[in-house]
Amino acid sequence: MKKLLTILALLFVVSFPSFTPANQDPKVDTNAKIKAVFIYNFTKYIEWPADYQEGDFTIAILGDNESLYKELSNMSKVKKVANRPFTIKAISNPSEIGKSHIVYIPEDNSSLVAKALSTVKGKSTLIVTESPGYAKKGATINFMIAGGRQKFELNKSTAQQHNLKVSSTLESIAVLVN
Amino acid sequence: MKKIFYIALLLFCTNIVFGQNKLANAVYSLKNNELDKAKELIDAAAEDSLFNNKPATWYYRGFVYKEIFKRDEISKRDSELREKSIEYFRKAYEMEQEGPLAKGCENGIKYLAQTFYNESAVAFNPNEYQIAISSYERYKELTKSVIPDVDFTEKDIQFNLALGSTYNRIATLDSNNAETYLNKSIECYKNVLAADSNNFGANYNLGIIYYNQGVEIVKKMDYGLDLMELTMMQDKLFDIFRTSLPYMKKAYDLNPKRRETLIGLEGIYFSMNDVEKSELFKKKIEELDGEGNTINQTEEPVESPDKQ
Repeated sequence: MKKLLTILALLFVVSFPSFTPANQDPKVDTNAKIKAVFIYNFTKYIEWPADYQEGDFTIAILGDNESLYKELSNMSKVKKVANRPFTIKAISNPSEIGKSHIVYIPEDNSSLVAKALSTVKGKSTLIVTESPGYAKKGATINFMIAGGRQKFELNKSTAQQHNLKVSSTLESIAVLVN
Repeated sequence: MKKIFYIALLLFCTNIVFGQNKLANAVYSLKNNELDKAKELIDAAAEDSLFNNKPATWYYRGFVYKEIFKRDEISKRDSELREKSIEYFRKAYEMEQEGPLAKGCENGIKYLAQTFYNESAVAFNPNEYQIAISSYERYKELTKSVIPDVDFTEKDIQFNLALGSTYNRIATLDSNNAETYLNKSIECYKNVLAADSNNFGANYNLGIIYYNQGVEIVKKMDYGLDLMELTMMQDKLFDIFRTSLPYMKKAYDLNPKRRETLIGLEGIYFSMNDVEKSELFKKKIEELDGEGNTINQTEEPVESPDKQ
């Protein structure tokens, strides 16, 4: 009887599952999505002259920005500009700008800004850049980061030179430069 | 009159001998591993008013029931045998709290508590996690009843890590209730950090959960968002990514060679528009890959983070 009292209760101990790292979502270019939303807003708050108000609304990306191209392409599937469909195109040379409504020039291709500006001289093409100081170098809109947020600089006089009417709503949210 | 006295004495003695036999025979059967017979005898002894006030009767009853539970119902979650065994051990323990019999009761209860722990450990999956929770609580309650000053800190950490991962998995499967489960997951990992702020798993997973929340918002963002809404959305996103950052940084400090943490920090800084720091961690990943000493899923059975 005494022996029974001292029998050890042996049991195989099962461990809790070991640490499993949570799956990280694929890296999403949050910046590209936000820029796409901004660009869509530009189409709403900037008025192009009459001769730019027919046919597709064309946005060209001069150089390589796969994330933004993807976002703008996705946007073009669900949004329109005053009932006009978007055409999104990637170009490698300013000579391909044609009658684009917006030309986006990524920072890596800043060296092409000057040539692009001369190409669109006298045209109503909105040049959008993302390099510090470029709103003062001829771009109408230049994306910038402030306080960790995506913002944009707006050069009103450049907009006027290209016969683009900027609404006060857009102005109110922009960092204005001359 | 004298005759009646002798008859009564004889009956009394017979009863004692018979009662002793029931208990002694139950123990004898138990020793011979005749569990069903032992159960029959010990049940009878427990019904006997001469022996049901003796702790040994209840101890052996608990022991016999435990052995039958082991034999027949070790995998049965709602085993009545186990519950009865606990009840009998407890009854014996209440009657005698010191000595070898009390020690035997403690061991018996500890053993049965461990079966609840094991039951919890195998139930960390989206379908059975509630069993994992209730079984773990039962394990703690039983263990505490025999070891009042037991420290569950380490086990609670393991439990919360496992439960947090389970909630996280459920969130990916049940998109309608994803937020609810992610919040539960966050709570689990915060419980871990309250006990051990240097826990790598809790820090890493909290960093990732918050980061993923931000990414999900971006993914679902409507292209037609108005300018003011966009401004507010950016503020919200920045706050979410900023919340994820200290957890991921801590995970990185704890394990700087772990690839997931580098990918995590690269992504968080990128989303906070801190390109310089994002590039720094991108470079570290490349360096680590070049060194060939990356610590990732080869160390533990982990799911590797995806990367675009």
